Amino acid sequence: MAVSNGSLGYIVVDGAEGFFRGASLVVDFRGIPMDFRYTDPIKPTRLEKILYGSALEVYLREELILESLIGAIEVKPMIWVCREADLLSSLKAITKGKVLFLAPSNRSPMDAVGNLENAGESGVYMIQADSVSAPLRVAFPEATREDEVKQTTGVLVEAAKTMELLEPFGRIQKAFSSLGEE
Amino acid sequence: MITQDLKDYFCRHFLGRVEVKPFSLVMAPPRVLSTKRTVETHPIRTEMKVAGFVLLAQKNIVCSSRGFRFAAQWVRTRGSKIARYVPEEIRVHTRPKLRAKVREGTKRVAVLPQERSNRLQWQPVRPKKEGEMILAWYGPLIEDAILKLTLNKQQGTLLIWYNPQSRRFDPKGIYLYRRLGVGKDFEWRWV
Repeated sequence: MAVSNGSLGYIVVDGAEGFFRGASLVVDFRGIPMDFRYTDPIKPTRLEKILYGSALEVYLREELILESLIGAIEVKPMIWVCREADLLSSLKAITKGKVLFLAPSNRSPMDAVGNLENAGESGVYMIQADSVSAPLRVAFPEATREDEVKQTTGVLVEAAKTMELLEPFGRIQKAFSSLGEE
Repeated sequence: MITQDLKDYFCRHFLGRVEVKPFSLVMAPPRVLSTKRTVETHPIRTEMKVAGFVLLAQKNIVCSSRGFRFAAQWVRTRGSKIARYVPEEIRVHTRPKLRAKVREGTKRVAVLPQERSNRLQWQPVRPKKEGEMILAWYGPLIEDAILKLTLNKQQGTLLIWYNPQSRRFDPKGIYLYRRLGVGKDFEWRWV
């Protein structure tokens, strides 16, 4: 599957109230959906909880849901974006592409769009993606090279000209809600 | 007695026969019985029948469907007393493997609007005329690709439906103004 230029992939794996479910949304740089996949909710039984033990959640989230979603998509994005930092390494291993974790911050804006600052932790940065919002917190998997970080954040800055980078997560949540009402 | 003598007499004369009863001196061979005992054995353990089986998906257990091979260190054998009550049939229930069913939902999500929050606090440029007040700034928006815009008055957000067929990518922003004075309304202005 060839990478679709000008696209970002958002992935969410939710594990609230004993139900596990996930969704992936690939959008173009305007936020228009190109591919959306979601899983049916999985509720592990008591026996499965006993058998799998503490490995259950990791198995469900990282192996079962994540792998199934990535395997099902038909449009491969330039970058995969997740909002759970613990998914980062598995996402990288499964997609074998560019992946990052993205979250809002309360920091005051940086001087210029595209500015990148180390946030004090390895692989974690603050990026000023556009001129009309607070910097975003972005994290990369371990051993991500410096040039790859710059290349990836460059794509984010480009996308932020025409879309709000965190907005698709909200749409996935709305899609979950509408599915739950059915 | 007389009667018997008379009967014999007449029998000899008229019938010429006398009833002769055989008498053998050969005795029947005695029945020989062995003192050796045989023991009949009946198992009290009834035959077990496995109705079905399942292998739980565990990455660290090496299983094979042919011949059901697995590593020797996992085999545990030991003797135990035979239980008095043994079930006639052991039913091993099959547990369906945990699976994630993925569904396609692009059309479903395409009808959901995008949502923009008010970013006026970050917007350094605030063009306004006398007698008007800027309430909000929303962006980036692709004006030529918009099908519908709706202001969510409760949340203060702007809901946007784009035309997915559009090929326009020119980003713009939109200001929401309020004209000051009695009876004045709101106004949208693209920049």
